[in-house]
Amino acid sequence: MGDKRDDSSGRGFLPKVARIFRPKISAKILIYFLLIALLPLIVVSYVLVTTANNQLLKNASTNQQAVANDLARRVDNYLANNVNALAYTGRLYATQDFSKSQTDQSLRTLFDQNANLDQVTLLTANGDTGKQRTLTVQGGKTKIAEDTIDTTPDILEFLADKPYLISVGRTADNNPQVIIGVPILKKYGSASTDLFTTQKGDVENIAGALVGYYDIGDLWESVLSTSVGDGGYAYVIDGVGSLVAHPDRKFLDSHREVAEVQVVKQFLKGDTATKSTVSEKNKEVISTPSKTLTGWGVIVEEPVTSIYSSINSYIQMAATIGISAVLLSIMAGLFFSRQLIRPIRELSLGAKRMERGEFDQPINVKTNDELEALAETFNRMARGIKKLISDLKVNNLKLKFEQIKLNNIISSVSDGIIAINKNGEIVSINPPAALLVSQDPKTLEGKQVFEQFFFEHDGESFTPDIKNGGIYHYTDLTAKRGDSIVYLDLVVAVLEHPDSDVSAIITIHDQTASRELNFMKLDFVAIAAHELRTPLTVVRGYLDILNTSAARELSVFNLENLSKAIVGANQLRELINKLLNIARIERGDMEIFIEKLNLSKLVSENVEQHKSMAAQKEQVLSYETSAKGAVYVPADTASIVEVLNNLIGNAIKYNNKGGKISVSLEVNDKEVRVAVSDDGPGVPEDLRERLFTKFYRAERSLIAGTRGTGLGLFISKTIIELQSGTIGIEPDQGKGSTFYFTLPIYDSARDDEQIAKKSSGGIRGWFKKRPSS
Amino acid sequence: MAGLKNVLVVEDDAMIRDLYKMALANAEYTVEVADSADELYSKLARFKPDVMFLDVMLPGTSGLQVLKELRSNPKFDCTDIKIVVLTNLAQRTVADNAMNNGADGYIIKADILPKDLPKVIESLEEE
Repeated sequence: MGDKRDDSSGRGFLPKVARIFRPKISAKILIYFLLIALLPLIVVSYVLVTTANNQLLKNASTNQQAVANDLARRVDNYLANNVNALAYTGRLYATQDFSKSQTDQSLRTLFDQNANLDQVTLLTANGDTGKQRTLTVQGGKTKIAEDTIDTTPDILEFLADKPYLISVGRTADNNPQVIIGVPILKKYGSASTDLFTTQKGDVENIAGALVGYYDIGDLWESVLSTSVGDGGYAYVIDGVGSLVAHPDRKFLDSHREVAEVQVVKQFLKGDTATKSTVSEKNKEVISTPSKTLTGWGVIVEEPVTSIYSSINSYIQMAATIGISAVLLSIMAGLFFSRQLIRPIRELSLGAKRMERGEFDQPINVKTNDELEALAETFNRMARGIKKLISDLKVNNLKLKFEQIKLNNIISSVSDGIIAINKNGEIVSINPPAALLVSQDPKTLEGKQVFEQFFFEHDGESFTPDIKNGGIYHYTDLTAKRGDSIVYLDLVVAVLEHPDSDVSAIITIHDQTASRELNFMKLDFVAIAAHELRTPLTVVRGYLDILNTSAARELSVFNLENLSKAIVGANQLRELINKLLNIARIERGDMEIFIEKLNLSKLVSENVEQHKSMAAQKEQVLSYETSAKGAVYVPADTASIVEVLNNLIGNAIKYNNKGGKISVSLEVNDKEVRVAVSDDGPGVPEDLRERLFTKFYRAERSLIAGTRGTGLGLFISKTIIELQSGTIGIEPDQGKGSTFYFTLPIYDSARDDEQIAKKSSGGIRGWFKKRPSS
Repeated sequence: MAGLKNVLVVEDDAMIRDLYKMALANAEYTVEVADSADELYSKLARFKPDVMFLDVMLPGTSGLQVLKELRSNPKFDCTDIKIVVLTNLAQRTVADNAMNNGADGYIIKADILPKDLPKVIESLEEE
């Protein structure tokens, strides 16, 4: 038992694990709420952030381009102004043929007009020697220094090709310095001298050059202090990547070349698109270059962080909203799941109560929805089940009672009852049936019924049919019980539609006792008859002696009395013989001793013997036959005599006084037929069938007061049929009746074997042993 | 009535014994009777029957037992005489048994008429 319990708990383990990992509905609802709240938030946030990012980038790009272009234009303007101022002064100098003082004056004016001009140098090419005049500003005063130095023809030659020359350099204190050179021509055209249309000089036409040195540090600081967005700025480079201006003075001081910076590199290749790149200070930036007319570049850049700073705050806001949403949805989820779960928990508890068999406490759910309906259904179901259970209990009791009753009946009946299934195995058996094979009913269950019970019929093994539906009666079966033989009747009820395990029920009725009782009865009749016979034998014997030896001494009257006494004694003998024969027939030991019998002689003699009896009723008894000579049949003489006595005796008895009785014997090659006909009242149609049954006498004979046992025809029928003959009454011909019997013709080949080894020689009661062959 | 002259009737029922004796005497047979096996054996010492009517039911013993004794024991000198068994019960198996043990026939006492007994003896003469 202990092992078994271990097994069951082992089996229960898996479901337990499953239960642990099965999420509760409340958790599910929570998860659903979170998903519902967060998923759109995440999606929307992502879309918004991406869109905003792109927009910000676009805005930054547009803004940067505008700023860059604007700065580029300002640079251009600044340079153009200086170039034009220089060019104007140079032109004045060349065309007005200034005196020395006029020249100085015009240079001073140039200084006055431009605070950033540190120094201006006039290179002249007139004469063989070029003279260079240099003006510098020192302490608010303009000092003019004049050197006579070799004209640098390279510069002049260089300037001859160009309207101006701009280069970047550094002052002694490392300030960026723009050097602008313009040519002084011998002859000027009428064209304007602005930056864009400055007339190109040629070597032949060039007279000199005016070169201005501009300190742009302070000036451009203000220009370049233009802030771009949040933390953005602009710086300027020249056409080869030298740093011209930068808001960060320290950076400007320490760096001259920025050609290797990515954005500069791109700019120098001609790409001026807005890019996310790495700045000159190695920072993540968005930068946009713009090209000036002089080939310089203005590069505007903003740190990425500043561009996206607005986004970050948005993301922060979104995150805050998201978290709040999560918290809210958790709370809402908890709330709703509680609300939802409570009735379900109620239902679950109710179902568990039902499982325990408690149906009285209803499930109380008032949610006014499907759950309430479900609870109602549950409650109805509980009531229904409760009622069903109580009905079942009542029915169970009834069934039990019926079962007990049936068991009592089955076990108390004397008949054996065996229920078998379709395989012929014993399902149930009662004690009387089991007793037949001297076994306990329990040990027989499950065994093959016909391997336990053996029946015989006429000495041969017999097995009832249990396959085809219907009720079958089998009688005169025998079976062995121990050393004795029991006689049985069987009723086998084979179910047409076996519903359960029972397919047939065999009822065994033990006939042994009643058979024995019947035999005792028959024995009693036989013994009584025998006891009667002995004194009767004596009576008949002495009557016979009297009849033969003392007849001549008796008077006619006494002779008649003697004759009546003999008739009465004979009648008594016949009656006793009939009783004996009936007893024998009933017991089945009616014995027939077949011999070769001359039937024609026997019938003829028997008719003669009855003539005196017929004469008493003034009847005419006749015999006729178509047979020539003896007709032999294999038959038992004494019994055939009995049949003839019966048929002829009946005819005389039942025919009217003065009637006719004719006995005939017809023969063909197979059988002989003896018929006894009378012209009496005949036999009513409805009685004919019962005529040859036991104890039947036609009613008319009762009315007529004719005595008789009614056994004669029954005995005759048995006798004739035992000898392979037939007996009957012919159909009503309107008058009288005809009884007949047939017997097979003697055939030595067929009959000699069974012919008894004794013969009576026609003497009643004497059987002589036949000589053995 | 050729050679079978001496008849011995062994029957315990006095009425039947006397009846048979009377019937056979009337037919001029020499008849002796015995009412038991013992009397039979003592009768045989001085009477030699040609035919014996032997009842199957004798006081204290069975006629069949006596029949076997007579047929098997030469001292009775009955091995070749005619022996007819008398039976009251129409139990023919008993009669058959008798015939198998040496009887020459049997008589059902209830059915036979005493006047037919000489005919029985005559039929025994026909071999």
